[in-house]
This record gives sequence, C-alpha cells and structure tokens, in this order.
Amino acid sequence: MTNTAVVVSIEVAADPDLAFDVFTSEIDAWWLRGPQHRFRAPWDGKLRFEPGPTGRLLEEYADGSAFVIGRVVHWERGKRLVLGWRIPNFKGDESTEVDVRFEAIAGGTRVSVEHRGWNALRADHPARHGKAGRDFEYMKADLWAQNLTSLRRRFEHNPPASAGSLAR
Amino acid sequence: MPSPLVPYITVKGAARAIDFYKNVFGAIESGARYTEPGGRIGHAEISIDGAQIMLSDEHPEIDVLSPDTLGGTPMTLHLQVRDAAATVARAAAAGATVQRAVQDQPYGERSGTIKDPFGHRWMIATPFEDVSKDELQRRVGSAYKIS
Repeated sequence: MTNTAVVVSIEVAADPDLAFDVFTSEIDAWWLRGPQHRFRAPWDGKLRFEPGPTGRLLEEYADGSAFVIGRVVHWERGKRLVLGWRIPNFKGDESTEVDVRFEAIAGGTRVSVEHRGWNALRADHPARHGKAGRDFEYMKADLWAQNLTSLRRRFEHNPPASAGSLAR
Repeated sequence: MPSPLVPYITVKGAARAIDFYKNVFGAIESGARYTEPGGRIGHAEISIDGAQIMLSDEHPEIDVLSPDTLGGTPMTLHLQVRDAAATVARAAAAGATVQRAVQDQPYGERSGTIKDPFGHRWMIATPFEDVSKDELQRRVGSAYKIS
C-alpha cells in the first residue's frame, strides 16, 4: 500500500488486541485536552467510540448534544481501524479518513496512523491554517504524534496486566 | 530529567538503523516515528539506557545528509555500557567496522571504537577504575600534560 500522507507510528507495551481496545474504549482518557486537540468549545466534551463495524466516534457534551467526528469504515480488533474524520469547520460532504494499523512487534505493538484526504480540501480551507504541502502534513503529524505519545504513556505508567514489556 | 542536549543523527536507511541500534545497543523506540509517502522517515526517537537520540533519513533538499553521503563523520557518540567487549562484538556481528579494538585505557575505561553500518562512529566504554589526576599523569608520562 502506498501512503498518501505522513504516517505517524509509535510502539506501545501491549499486545495488538489490548492496544486496539485501549485506543478505542479509552480514547477520552488518552486523547489530549484543550482547543488544539478537542473539537468544540469549551473543550470539555468526552470522546467516545460506538464500537463495531457500524460504529462512530463522537464528542459528547454535558447538555446531551454530540459532534460526530466520523463513522467507522473498518473495525478489525487487533489489526485495523478505519473511520471518517471531520472537524467542526468542515462543510457539507467534506471529510478525511483515518486509517489505524496495529502490528505485533517484539514486546508490544506498533500503532500507525495515516490521516489522509486533506488534499481534497480547498487551498484556503480554515483547517489548513494557511499551510500547504509538507508543512501542512507535518503540522497534522505533530498533533497525532502528541496524542500517540500520550497513548504510549498510558501503558508505561499504568501497564495493563496482559501488556508485554518494551521497557528494559 | 531529560538531558537538554540530544544528538540528532542522519542516516541512509533510518528504519534499518533503528533495528541495528535496538539489536546492538538495546535501544527502545521511545517516541513517534514520522514516515513520509514513499517511506522516508522524517523523524524518529530512540532511547539507549535512558539516553535519547533523534534520527531521520537524509533530506538533501534541506542539507540534512548522512555520513555515507558526506564521506565521513566529524563526531563520535560516546556510549557507556555494562560490557564494552560484548557490545562491540555484537556490533561487529551486525555489520559494524571495529576501528579500535576494546582495550583498557589509562583513564580507567575499557573502550573501543566502531563505525556502524550507517557511518556513525561510536566509542563504546565501560568504566572500571577511578583514576586520580596524579595517577593519570604518572601513567601517561610525557605523552600528555594532564591539567
């Protein structure tokens, strides 16, 4: 498969099934907070996956409303998760796609994220923050890197029972 | 606390280099890896016994070049390990060139120098003795003035 975006990956100290479970069911705990990472002001919504192949990723608010980030396209525990990805300034049918892969490695799992489809957005789209090409790709990659680093830390500081050990 | 100084090295074949540093030095991949379309690694981070190193593939368009392309390196990475001889043997078996075999140095270090398969030079050292300035001067005689 040829990637069309910068892929951000990280090693976590858990087997692929557990990495997948924590990625999905605990996303609100490891996904970073604040306006850079959350979707709607005042940035106090909770992220939640409706699990399974017909599920969605939502940000839910105290007043009962929710923002739908995307619908699941592919749900394969321990292997691959694909979902649509919209942010609140997207219009109409504008969307991107997030493809997450879970690959067993010595001592754990490599979690890789390809977030593609930004090229379809117009050049002056607010989501671009005035950036294009590789500058834009790396800006998006930095945000994923920060969140995946947080996911990795979740296994370092609070290792689940079935996690392997990457630590020496 | 992490050190404020982190070597950021350039290699041809960053993915293979990370595997080499894992296998030979027991490195772990401690941070996020950025892989561009086409496979070029824009950034990666490893940690060897708690010491951080950043690395990437070559980016000729911004003059980020590897020792292979430059024809050598002016820098040596000094790495302290528990058993220098064993580490150097592992490095040699994995394709490194031994430039100076491991031997006891007058300053109390057992060390040797290798050039890894990506052109970076490492001094692999195990301290075995505290040597005072006077004792070091006695050992090196007139070859060096220790100050």
